[in-house]
Amino acid sequence: MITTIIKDRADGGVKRKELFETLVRDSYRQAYNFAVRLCGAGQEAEDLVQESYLRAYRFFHRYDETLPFLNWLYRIISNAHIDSMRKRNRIRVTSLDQPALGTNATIDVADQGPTIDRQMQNDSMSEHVQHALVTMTPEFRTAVLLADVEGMAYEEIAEVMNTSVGTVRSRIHRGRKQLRKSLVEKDPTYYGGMCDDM
Amino acid sequence: MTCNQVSALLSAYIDGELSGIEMRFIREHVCYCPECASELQAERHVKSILGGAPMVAAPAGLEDRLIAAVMAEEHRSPFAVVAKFAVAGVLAFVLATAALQFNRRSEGADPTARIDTSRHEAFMDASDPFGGGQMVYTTSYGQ
Repeated sequence: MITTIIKDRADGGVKRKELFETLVRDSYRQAYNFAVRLCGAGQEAEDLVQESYLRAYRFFHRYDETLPFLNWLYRIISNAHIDSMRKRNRIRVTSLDQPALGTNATIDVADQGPTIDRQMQNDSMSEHVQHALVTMTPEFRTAVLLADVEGMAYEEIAEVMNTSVGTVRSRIHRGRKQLRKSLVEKDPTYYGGMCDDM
Repeated sequence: MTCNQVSALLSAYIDGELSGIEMRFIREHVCYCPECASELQAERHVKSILGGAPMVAAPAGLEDRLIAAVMAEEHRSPFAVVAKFAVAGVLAFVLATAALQFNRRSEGADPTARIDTSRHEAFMDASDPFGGGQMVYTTSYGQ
Protein backbone atom coordinates (compact mmCIF):
# COMPACT_ATOMS: atom_id res chain seq x y z
CA MET A 1 0.00 0.00 0.00
CA ILE A 2 2.88 2.30 0.84
CA THR A 3 4.47 1.52 -2.52
CA THR A 4 1.16 2.39 -4.19
CA ILE A 5 1.05 5.72 -2.39
CA ILE A 6 4.66 6.45 -3.31
CA LYS A 7 4.03 5.46 -6.91
CA ASP A 8 0.91 7.66 -7.05
CA ARG A 9 2.83 10.59 -5.59
CA ALA A 10 5.69 10.05 -8.03
CA ASP A 11 3.26 9.84 -10.94
CA GLY A 12 1.57 13.03 -9.70
CA GLY A 13 4.94 14.75 -9.52
CA VAL A 14 5.79 13.75 -13.09
CA LYS A 15 2.40 14.98 -14.32
CA ARG A 16 2.84 18.32 -12.53
CA LYS A 17 6.31 18.67 -14.06
CA GLU A 18 4.94 17.97 -17.53
CA LEU A 19 2.09 20.40 -16.93
CA PHE A 20 4.51 23.13 -15.84
CA GLU A 21 6.70 22.56 -18.88
CA THR A 22 3.65 22.93 -21.13
CA LEU A 23 2.65 26.13 -19.35
CA VAL A 24 6.15 27.57 -19.83
CA ARG A 25 6.09 26.83 -23.54
CA ASP A 26 2.63 28.40 -23.90
CA SER A 27 3.36 31.55 -21.93
CA TYR A 28 7.02 32.50 -22.32
CA ARG A 29 6.46 34.92 -25.22
CA GLN A 30 3.94 37.04 -23.30
CA ALA A 31 6.04 36.77 -20.16
CA TYR A 32 9.12 38.02 -22.00
CA ASN A 33 7.19 40.87 -23.62
CA PHE A 34 5.87 41.97 -20.22
CA ALA A 35 9.33 41.77 -18.69
CA VAL A 36 10.81 43.90 -21.48
CA ARG A 37 8.19 46.59 -20.89
CA LEU A 38 9.03 46.54 -17.18
CA CYS A 39 12.82 46.51 -17.51
CA GLY A 40 13.43 48.06 -20.88
CA ALA A 41 16.45 45.81 -21.51
CA GLY A 42 17.09 42.47 -23.25
CA GLN A 43 19.29 40.50 -20.82
CA GLU A 44 17.64 42.02 -17.77
CA ALA A 45 14.24 41.02 -19.10
CA GLU A 46 15.46 37.47 -19.75
CA ASP A 47 16.88 37.25 -16.22
CA LEU A 48 13.60 38.52 -14.81
CA VAL A 49 11.60 35.98 -16.79
CA GLN A 50 13.87 33.12 -15.73
CA GLU A 51 13.76 34.13 -12.07
CA SER A 52 9.97 34.38 -12.27
CA TYR A 53 9.54 30.93 -13.79
CA LEU A 54 11.85 29.47 -11.13
CA ARG A 55 9.73 31.07 -8.41
CA ALA A 56 6.59 29.81 -10.13
CA TYR A 57 8.01 26.28 -10.20
CA ARG A 58 9.03 26.36 -6.55
CA PHE A 59 5.49 27.36 -5.56
CA PHE A 60 3.64 25.48 -8.28
CA HIS A 61 1.91 23.42 -5.60
CA ARG A 62 0.08 26.61 -4.62
CA TYR A 63 -1.17 27.36 -8.12
CA ASP A 64 -4.91 26.94 -8.58
CA GLU A 65 -5.34 25.34 -12.00
CA THR A 66 -8.83 26.79 -12.38
CA LEU A 67 -7.33 30.29 -12.66
CA PRO A 68 -5.39 31.63 -15.67
CA PHE A 69 -1.71 30.74 -15.37
CA LEU A 70 -0.60 33.98 -17.04
CA ASN A 71 -2.32 36.13 -14.41
CA TRP A 72 -0.54 34.22 -11.67
CA LEU A 73 2.74 34.49 -13.57
CA TYR A 74 2.34 38.23 -14.11
CA ARG A 75 1.98 38.66 -10.36
CA ILE A 76 5.22 36.76 -9.85
CA ILE A 77 6.99 38.80 -12.55
CA SER A 78 5.76 42.09 -11.03
CA ASN A 79 6.88 41.10 -7.55
CA ALA A 80 10.24 39.83 -8.78
CA HIS A 81 10.77 43.08 -10.65
CA ILE A 82 9.94 45.21 -7.61
CA ASP A 83 12.25 43.04 -5.47
CA SER A 84 15.12 43.62 -7.89
CA MET A 85 14.43 47.37 -7.94
CA ARG A 86 14.56 47.46 -4.15
CA LYS A 87 17.83 45.50 -4.07
CA ARG A 88 19.30 47.86 -6.61
CA ASN A 89 18.32 50.87 -4.48
CA ARG A 90 20.08 49.33 -1.49
CA ILE A 91 23.42 49.02 -3.33
CA ARG A 92 25.92 51.63 -2.10
CA VAL A 93 26.81 54.22 -4.67
CA THR A 94 30.47 55.19 -5.05
CA SER A 95 31.39 58.50 -6.62
CA LEU A 96 32.98 58.01 -10.02
CA ASP A 97 34.78 61.34 -9.83
CA GLN A 98 36.73 60.62 -6.68
CA PRO A 99 39.91 58.52 -6.90
CA ALA A 100 39.44 54.88 -5.95
CA LEU A 101 40.33 54.15 -2.35
CA GLY A 102 44.10 53.81 -1.86
CA THR A 103 44.98 54.88 -5.40
CA ASN A 104 45.09 57.92 -7.60
CA ALA A 105 43.20 56.20 -10.38
CA THR A 106 39.59 56.96 -11.15
CA ILE A 107 37.05 54.27 -11.76
CA ASP A 108 36.33 53.30 -15.36
CA VAL A 109 32.73 52.47 -16.12
CA ALA A 110 31.40 50.84 -19.27
CA ASP A 111 29.18 52.90 -21.56
CA GLN A 112 25.66 52.84 -20.15
CA GLY A 113 24.07 53.66 -23.46
CA PRO A 114 21.66 51.21 -25.08
CA THR A 115 23.24 48.03 -26.34
CA ILE A 116 22.52 46.78 -29.83
CA ASP A 117 19.94 44.24 -28.69
CA ARG A 118 18.22 46.89 -26.59
CA GLN A 119 18.05 49.17 -29.62
CA MET A 120 16.51 46.42 -31.71
CA GLN A 121 13.80 45.96 -29.12
CA ASN A 122 13.23 49.67 -28.81
CA ASP A 123 12.48 49.82 -32.54
CA SER A 124 9.21 48.05 -31.87
CA MET A 125 8.16 50.72 -29.40
CA SER A 126 9.58 54.20 -29.66
CA GLU A 127 12.64 54.70 -27.53
CA HIS A 128 10.96 57.68 -25.88
CA VAL A 129 7.99 55.61 -24.80
CA GLN A 130 10.16 52.74 -23.52
CA HIS A 131 12.38 55.16 -21.60
CA ALA A 132 9.35 56.93 -20.19
CA LEU A 133 7.98 53.57 -19.03
CA VAL A 134 11.20 52.69 -17.26
CA THR A 135 11.23 55.99 -15.36
CA MET A 136 7.70 55.51 -13.99
CA THR A 137 6.89 54.48 -10.44
CA PRO A 138 7.04 50.65 -10.59
CA GLU A 139 3.51 50.05 -9.30
CA PHE A 140 2.07 52.60 -11.74
CA ARG A 141 4.05 51.10 -14.62
CA THR A 142 2.83 47.59 -13.84
CA ALA A 143 -0.81 48.70 -13.66
CA VAL A 144 -0.62 50.66 -16.93
CA LEU A 145 1.14 47.81 -18.78
CA LEU A 146 -1.37 45.24 -17.59
CA ALA A 147 -4.24 47.48 -18.72
CA ASP A 148 -2.88 48.82 -22.01
CA VAL A 149 -0.48 46.14 -23.25
CA GLU A 150 -2.06 43.01 -21.78
CA GLY A 151 -5.63 44.30 -22.04
CA MET A 152 -6.64 43.15 -18.59
CA ALA A 153 -9.75 44.32 -16.76
CA TYR A 154 -9.28 46.27 -13.52
CA GLU A 155 -10.51 43.34 -11.48
CA GLU A 156 -7.91 41.05 -13.03
CA ILE A 157 -5.20 43.66 -12.47
CA ALA A 158 -6.28 43.98 -8.84
CA GLU A 159 -5.88 40.22 -8.45
CA VAL A 160 -2.46 40.22 -10.11
CA MET A 161 -1.24 43.13 -8.00
CA ASN A 162 -2.96 41.88 -4.87
CA THR A 163 -4.77 45.14 -4.28
CA SER A 164 -8.22 46.71 -4.67
CA VAL A 165 -9.92 47.88 -7.87
CA GLY A 166 -9.93 51.42 -6.50
CA THR A 167 -6.16 51.34 -6.06
CA VAL A 168 -5.75 49.95 -9.58
CA ARG A 169 -7.88 52.76 -10.96
CA SER A 170 -5.76 55.33 -9.11
CA ARG A 171 -2.46 53.74 -10.23
CA ILE A 172 -3.51 53.64 -13.86
CA HIS A 173 -4.71 57.23 -13.77
CA ARG A 174 -1.52 58.50 -12.12
CA GLY A 175 0.66 56.21 -14.23
CA ARG A 176 -0.71 57.50 -17.52
CA LYS A 177 -0.28 61.04 -16.25
CA GLN A 178 3.38 60.31 -15.41
CA LEU A 179 3.87 58.76 -18.83
CA ARG A 180 2.32 61.68 -20.64
CA LYS A 181 4.42 64.20 -18.72
CA SER A 182 7.60 62.26 -19.43
CA LEU A 183 6.81 61.99 -23.15
CA VAL A 184 6.05 65.69 -23.50
CA GLU A 185 9.36 66.53 -21.80
CA LYS A 186 11.23 64.26 -24.23
CA ASP A 187 9.54 65.40 -27.41
CA PRO A 188 7.23 68.39 -26.94
CA THR A 189 6.63 68.69 -30.67
CA TYR A 190 5.31 65.20 -31.12
CA TYR A 191 3.69 64.64 -27.73
CA GLY A 192 2.83 68.26 -26.90
CA GLY A 193 -0.89 67.78 -27.40
CA MET A 194 -0.99 65.07 -24.78
CA CYS A 195 -0.48 67.30 -21.82
CA ASP A 196 -2.61 70.38 -22.03
CA ASP A 197 -2.49 70.84 -18.28
CA MET A 198 1.32 71.39 -18.20
CA MET B 1 -19.37 66.89 -11.66
CA THR B 2 -16.27 69.09 -11.35
CA CYS B 3 -13.35 68.93 -13.72
CA ASN B 4 -11.15 67.44 -10.99
CA GLN B 5 -13.67 64.67 -10.39
CA VAL B 6 -13.97 64.02 -14.12
CA SER B 7 -10.19 64.04 -14.58
CA ALA B 8 -9.79 61.32 -11.94
CA LEU B 9 -12.28 59.13 -13.81
CA LEU B 10 -11.05 59.59 -17.38
CA SER B 11 -8.72 56.59 -17.34
CA ALA B 12 -11.48 54.31 -16.08
CA TYR B 13 -13.84 55.85 -18.66
CA ILE B 14 -11.69 54.98 -21.64
CA ASP B 15 -11.11 51.50 -20.15
CA GLY B 16 -14.86 50.93 -19.85
CA GLU B 17 -14.57 50.43 -16.11
CA LEU B 18 -17.25 52.86 -14.95
CA SER B 19 -20.91 52.30 -14.22
CA GLY B 20 -23.48 53.33 -16.81
CA ILE B 21 -24.41 56.50 -14.90
CA GLU B 22 -20.77 57.54 -14.45
CA MET B 23 -20.10 56.96 -18.16
CA ARG B 24 -23.04 59.20 -19.03
CA PHE B 25 -21.87 61.98 -16.70
CA ILE B 26 -18.39 61.95 -18.23
CA ARG B 27 -19.76 61.92 -21.76
CA GLU B 28 -22.00 64.90 -21.04
CA HIS B 29 -19.23 66.81 -19.24
CA VAL B 30 -16.64 66.50 -22.01
CA CYS B 31 -19.23 67.73 -24.50
CA TYR B 32 -19.14 71.20 -22.97
CA CYS B 33 -15.67 71.22 -21.32
CA PRO B 34 -12.85 71.59 -23.87
CA GLU B 35 -10.10 71.09 -21.26
CA CYS B 36 -11.51 67.77 -20.12
CA ALA B 37 -12.20 66.80 -23.74
CA SER B 38 -8.55 67.51 -24.54
CA GLU B 39 -7.37 65.48 -21.56
CA LEU B 40 -9.60 62.62 -22.61
CA GLN B 41 -8.00 62.68 -26.06
CA ALA B 42 -4.52 62.65 -24.48
CA GLU B 43 -5.46 59.62 -22.32
CA ARG B 44 -6.70 57.79 -25.40
CA HIS B 45 -3.49 58.64 -27.23
CA VAL B 46 -1.30 57.12 -24.47
CA LYS B 47 -3.47 54.02 -24.36
CA SER B 48 -3.27 53.59 -28.12
CA ILE B 49 0.54 54.01 -28.16
CA LEU B 50 1.01 51.25 -25.59
CA GLY B 51 -1.76 49.01 -26.90
CA GLY B 52 -0.65 49.31 -30.51
CA ALA B 53 2.98 48.35 -29.91
CA PRO B 54 3.80 44.93 -31.39
CA MET B 55 5.01 42.22 -29.06
CA VAL B 56 8.76 42.08 -28.55
CA ALA B 57 10.10 38.91 -30.14
CA ALA B 58 11.65 36.57 -27.62
CA PRO B 59 15.34 35.83 -28.26
CA ALA B 60 16.17 32.57 -30.00
CA GLY B 61 16.45 29.61 -27.66
CA LEU B 62 14.77 31.34 -24.72
CA GLU B 63 12.12 28.64 -24.45
CA ASP B 64 14.70 25.85 -24.10
CA ARG B 65 16.85 27.89 -21.70
CA LEU B 66 13.86 28.45 -19.44
CA ILE B 67 12.92 24.76 -19.42
CA ALA B 68 16.53 23.77 -18.72
CA ALA B 69 16.75 26.26 -15.85
CA VAL B 70 13.55 24.95 -14.29
CA MET B 71 14.66 21.31 -14.62
CA ALA B 72 18.04 22.16 -13.07
CA GLU B 73 16.21 23.86 -10.21
CA GLU B 74 14.18 20.71 -9.64
CA HIS B 75 17.29 18.64 -9.09
CA ARG B 76 18.86 21.29 -6.87
CA SER B 77 15.82 21.82 -4.72
CA PRO B 78 16.48 20.62 -1.14
CA PHE B 79 12.89 19.48 -0.92
CA ALA B 80 13.33 17.33 -4.02
CA VAL B 81 16.57 15.84 -2.65
CA VAL B 82 15.00 15.04 0.72
CA ALA B 83 11.91 13.64 -0.97
CA LYS B 84 14.01 11.37 -3.18
CA PHE B 85 16.00 10.07 -0.21
CA ALA B 86 12.79 9.51 1.72
CA VAL B 87 11.23 7.58 -1.16
CA ALA B 88 14.42 5.51 -1.55
CA GLY B 89 14.52 4.86 2.18
CA VAL B 90 10.93 3.69 2.34
CA LEU B 91 11.37 1.47 -0.70
CA ALA B 92 14.49 -0.05 0.81
CA PHE B 93 12.64 -0.71 4.06
CA VAL B 94 9.73 -2.34 2.25
CA LEU B 95 12.05 -4.54 0.19
CA ALA B 96 14.12 -5.53 3.22
CA THR B 97 11.00 -6.44 5.19
CA ALA B 98 9.67 -8.48 2.30
CA ALA B 99 13.01 -10.25 1.92
CA LEU B 100 13.13 -11.06 5.63
CA GLN B 101 9.65 -12.52 5.56
CA PHE B 102 10.52 -14.57 2.52
CA ASN B 103 13.66 -15.94 4.18
CA ARG B 104 11.81 -17.04 7.30
CA ARG B 105 9.18 -18.90 5.31
CA SER B 106 11.66 -20.55 2.95
CA GLU B 107 13.57 -22.10 5.90
CA GLY B 108 10.45 -24.20 6.67
CA ALA B 109 9.78 -23.09 10.20
CA ASP B 110 7.05 -25.36 11.45
CA PRO B 111 4.24 -23.25 12.76
CA THR B 112 3.13 -26.07 15.03
CA ALA B 113 6.50 -26.41 16.69
CA ARG B 114 6.15 -25.54 20.33
CA ILE B 115 7.21 -26.57 23.74
CA ASP B 116 4.38 -28.40 25.38
CA THR B 117 5.37 -29.11 28.95
CA SER B 118 1.99 -30.57 29.81
CA ARG B 119 2.72 -33.56 27.64
CA HIS B 120 6.20 -34.05 29.01
CA GLU B 121 7.51 -33.76 25.54
CA ALA B 122 9.30 -31.02 23.78
CA PHE B 123 9.24 -30.54 20.11
CA MET B 124 12.16 -28.56 19.02
CA ASP B 125 11.82 -26.06 16.27
CA ALA B 126 13.03 -27.37 12.95
CA SER B 127 15.44 -24.49 12.75
CA ASP B 128 17.42 -25.83 15.71
CA PRO B 129 21.02 -25.69 14.51
CA PHE B 130 22.07 -28.88 16.29
CA GLY B 131 19.10 -30.92 15.22
CA GLY B 132 18.48 -29.92 11.65
CA GLY B 133 14.91 -31.19 11.76
CA GLN B 134 12.07 -31.86 14.10
CA MET B 135 13.15 -33.57 17.26
CA VAL B 136 11.17 -34.98 20.09
CA TYR B 137 12.40 -35.22 23.65
CA THR B 138 10.59 -37.10 26.36
CA THR B 139 10.97 -35.31 29.64
CA SER B 140 10.31 -36.43 33.14
CA TYR B 141 9.49 -33.12 34.71
CA GLY B 142 6.01 -32.23 35.74
CA GLN B 143 5.00 -35.62 37.01
